[in-house]
Amino acid sequence: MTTSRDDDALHWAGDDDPTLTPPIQAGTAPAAAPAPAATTAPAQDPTVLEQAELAEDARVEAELAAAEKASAQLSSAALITLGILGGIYLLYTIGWAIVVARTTVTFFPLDSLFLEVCFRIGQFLSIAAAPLWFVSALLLTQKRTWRSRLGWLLLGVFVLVPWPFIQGA
Amino acid sequence: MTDNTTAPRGSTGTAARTSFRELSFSKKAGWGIALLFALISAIWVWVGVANLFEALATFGFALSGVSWLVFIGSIAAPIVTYGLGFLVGWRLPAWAKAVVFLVALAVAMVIKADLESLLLGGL
Repeated sequence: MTTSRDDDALHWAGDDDPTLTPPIQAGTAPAAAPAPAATTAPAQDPTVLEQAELAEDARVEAELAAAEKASAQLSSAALITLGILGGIYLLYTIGWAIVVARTTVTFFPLDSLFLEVCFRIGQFLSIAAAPLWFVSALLLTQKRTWRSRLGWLLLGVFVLVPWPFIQGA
Repeated sequence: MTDNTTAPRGSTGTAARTSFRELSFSKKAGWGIALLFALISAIWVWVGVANLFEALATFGFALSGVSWLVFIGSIAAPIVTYGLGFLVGWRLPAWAKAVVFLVALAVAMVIKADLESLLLGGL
């Protein structure tokens, strides 16, 4: 800020008093506040506010950069890998659904309602296993490294292969 | 260390074993979820045992090797996946434990279906 006559119309007298700095800004830049008050150079009067603002800006920018760095973990290669894995899990789900839909002979006679209910729940869970694994692996490895996330997803690809479908097809 | 495996760790108590009453609510919820899924898994273990006895009553002990694999595997699958889920969810919060146990149960059902398809011959 300059102290030219033109700018005087935009100022109130006493605007530059360092003691008028709001307590919040004074708190953010405690080291900067006393220095201009000690020098009391007229040309540098606004620097209390300015320094506070600059410090605030620098802090916000640092926070923003940190946040961007934290959220920018997914490269395009990682996104493509996740997409391929998601497609594999989708195929597994379809495969298990076909297995369940084509099941006409049960391994054991379901001669009670209890066994029937257990059998149906088991069938449902075998279909739901692939999407459950995919979603929960993504959910629970949010704070982990990309390698552990990929490891859990690859483990699921090996565990959840729909063997009955492959055998029958 | 062996004494401590039965009692949950991580508490700041001076005693090596902390009673269940002193645990935080979230840890109690975690143990409750573990117990709930243990009971649910036990149902399928029991079904597998019942199937095994039914087969033994029908065919005697002259079952083929694949049959034994299927029967024992069907009984063991819920136990093994529950144990793995317990290990994976050990440090996780209660809701995550529930998710892990649910996935473990689903994987047990997948293994059961895989094994049974060995005998039924696919579809």
